[in-house]
Amino acid sequence: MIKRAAWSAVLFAAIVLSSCGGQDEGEVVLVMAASSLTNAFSEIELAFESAHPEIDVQLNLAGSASLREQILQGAPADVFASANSATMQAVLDAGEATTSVTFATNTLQIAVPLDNPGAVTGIADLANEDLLVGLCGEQVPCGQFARQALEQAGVVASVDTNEGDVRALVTKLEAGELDVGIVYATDVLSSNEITGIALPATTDVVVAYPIAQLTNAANEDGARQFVEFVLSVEGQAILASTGFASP
Amino acid sequence: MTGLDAHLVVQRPDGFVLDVEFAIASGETVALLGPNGAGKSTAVEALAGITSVDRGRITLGGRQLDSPSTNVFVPPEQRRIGVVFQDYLLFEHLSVLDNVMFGPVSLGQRRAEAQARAQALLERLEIQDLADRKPPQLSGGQAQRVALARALATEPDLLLLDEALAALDVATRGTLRRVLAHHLADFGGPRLLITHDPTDAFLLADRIVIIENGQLTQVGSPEDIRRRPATPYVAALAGTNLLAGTNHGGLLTLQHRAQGLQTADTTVEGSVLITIHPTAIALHREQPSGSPRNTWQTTVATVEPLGDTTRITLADPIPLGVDITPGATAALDLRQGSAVWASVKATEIAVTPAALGPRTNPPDEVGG
Amino acid sequence: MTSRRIRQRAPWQLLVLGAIGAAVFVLPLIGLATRTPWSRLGELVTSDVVVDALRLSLITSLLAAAISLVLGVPLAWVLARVDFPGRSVVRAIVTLPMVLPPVVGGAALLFALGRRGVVGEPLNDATGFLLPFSIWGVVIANVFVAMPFLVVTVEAALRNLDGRHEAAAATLGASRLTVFRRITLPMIGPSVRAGLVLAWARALGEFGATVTFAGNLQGRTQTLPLAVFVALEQDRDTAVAISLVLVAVSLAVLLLLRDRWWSTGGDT
Repeated sequence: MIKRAAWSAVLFAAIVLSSCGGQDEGEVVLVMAASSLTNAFSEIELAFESAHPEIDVQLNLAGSASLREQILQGAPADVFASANSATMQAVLDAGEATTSVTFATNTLQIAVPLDNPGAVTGIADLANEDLLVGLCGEQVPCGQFARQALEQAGVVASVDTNEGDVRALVTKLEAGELDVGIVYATDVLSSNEITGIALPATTDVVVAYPIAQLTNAANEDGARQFVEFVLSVEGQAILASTGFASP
Repeated sequence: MTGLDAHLVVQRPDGFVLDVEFAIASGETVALLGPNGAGKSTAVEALAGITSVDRGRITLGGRQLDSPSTNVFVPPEQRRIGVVFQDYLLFEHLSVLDNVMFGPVSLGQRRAEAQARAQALLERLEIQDLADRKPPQLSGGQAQRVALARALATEPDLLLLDEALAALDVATRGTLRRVLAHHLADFGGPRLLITHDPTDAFLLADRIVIIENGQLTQVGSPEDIRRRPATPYVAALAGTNLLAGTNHGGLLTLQHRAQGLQTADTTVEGSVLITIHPTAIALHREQPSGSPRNTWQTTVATVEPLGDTTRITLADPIPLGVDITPGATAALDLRQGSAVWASVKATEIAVTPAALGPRTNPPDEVGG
Repeated sequence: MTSRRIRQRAPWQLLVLGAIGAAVFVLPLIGLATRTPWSRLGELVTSDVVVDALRLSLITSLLAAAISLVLGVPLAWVLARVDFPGRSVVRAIVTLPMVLPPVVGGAALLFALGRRGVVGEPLNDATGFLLPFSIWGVVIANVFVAMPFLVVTVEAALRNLDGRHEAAAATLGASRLTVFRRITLPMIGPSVRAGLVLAWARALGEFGATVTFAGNLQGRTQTLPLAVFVALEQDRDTAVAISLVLVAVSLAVLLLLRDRWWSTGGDT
């Protein structure tokens, strides 16, 4: 009997404690960021928190479209950083944000595993049926931009899988399960298990990353401070170090 | 050599040890009779091949089925033993006909032949109308006949009936005992009947093997068992009184009893088992005069009216069961504690030599 | 013969809690129904994406259910009847996919059967056969997550048999395989069916392991759940339409089976 009561108490305490946030006294800033910003924003989070010790930044990383849906359906968030102007536009149109600023740009690159099992040399190899070709799904920006690049190069890719987001695609390339894929330059830089191959020089695909403070932010001050940090010299330096280009 | 030759020694994990040895000739029905817990189910499992014996042997029709000493063990499906189980264990998802056909088909017979054989058996047992029914729709008596048909269909070398009548009500049991007796006689091989009901054994068996606590205590024809029981259990089965003592020229000294008795049988000397049938004891209010040399004073312990007879038990010096008519009970005004005189004729007291092991009475008549 | 039912008066507390429990399942379905673009439903449901996904889902889930049956019943038998060292460990491992997040399962499958996998690499080198990014990858992912349901159900049923009918069958001359085929299997029939339905349903709804191991490509590996996920980010109407198809297919099968196949009693 006592044993059972003790277990119930432990269980109850665990539930209560886990549902409470980390700090009950400090501020929280909820940041929705595209998954291609994972490395950059993780570093930015650390830098921001050491500059503002009373603020706890919580990152929600997912595909831009997925984040857009969450915001439009009313999920609590303070800041939205997207990999895609279209998704940001949808958020602006819905009135969830008033203005947005482009804080970084990215380019695409062909990526292969380190040992290049498919002996890939250029974008034309993506049409090779014998190779395992992966792209991001059309529903995410990475996938839309990749298809733009392929169209510009006149290549019809023989795609074997449309991954849900760019991180999943990178993981499979790193594992050697795919021969070739098109990812962001930042992903190639941050991974030491894939190598990049440049797209044709004529490729004109520039990925603009907008960031916005959301109108229904619970923590308006914190949100504003975060956005400013991203645009600041320090923030921009971190972005540059992870492979982003300036806006 | 056809027939069963079995020496079953099985040690169960709970410490119980079964050690029985018996043989059954073709055309002979032997009943393994004993109280619950005597080891009958252990014996059935060993014979059927569900478990193996630790020591001993099972030989059937000249084939060794289980012989630890020579590392032989034949699995159940190859033993050719037809078993009728206590709760029949009919296959509920198969029709009666399919149940009866199951054995022959499993042994490789063609369906058409198996079906014909099954139909014939059903007719013999007068249940051909039940061919398409499913077991849950059968009554106890019908199910038992199906189980018998199913066991017979494989034309086994041994027919083993495990408490085959136990699940039936008294009325059905009587009918089926007759059915069983009829069909057992038709089966040419050895037949083993496992039961705790002495009526089954006495009526159906040629020979009875008594098993108590894992050991054989008596083997003999029903007549022998009844007339010369070797243990209290058997005596109770036979409905008779059993005492132990010594016989010197007709003078019986009873073990643990002060009162002595006299028997007319002087042929058996020394350690003896003494049987006195309950109807052989007369009760009197006063000390009787006349022939009975065995008279003693005693008290009534219990009075039990049992319909057309009354069972009286007497207390010390010799505890005995006495069967007298209700009229006599009333005339003697017997009730618990009444003082009475008991008398038995010397000729009514039977003695047999007390043996240390299982007793085998030679049958009086061949065939029982 | 109809049996007279004993009248059960339910304590109101049970009724209330039961109603709330039912609401947990009914409310999301109602939500789905309210968002459905009923006027466009026909056109959405017959689009290429949906038809391809439906075809793939049905083929892979049924194949996975069949494989689960052929491998799962013997496995359940061994776990229930054969006492071998380490049996409880094996049983725990077999049950693991029920507890693990499916994505973890998919990743594990990739490490084992992927192109660079422990078994996958030699297999690919030797035969050129590749499981990921093919329909067989989907089937394997489905089997991995669904088979435990069948094994657990069937093992429980086998343990509940007392073995006496099987002993009776043996005395009648049936070999061990015949006993299994003609006596054991029919006796656990309802449980096998229930386990099969559970496994099939689980396979139909599988997402994480499929997308991680088999990938996502319309017409080859994009099953209904994957199609919903993709559509949700682009075209909500299509997503709702696909969800409706999934719900309809599942409900249809489950209703067709009804009590008759769920209960352990016969309906003779």
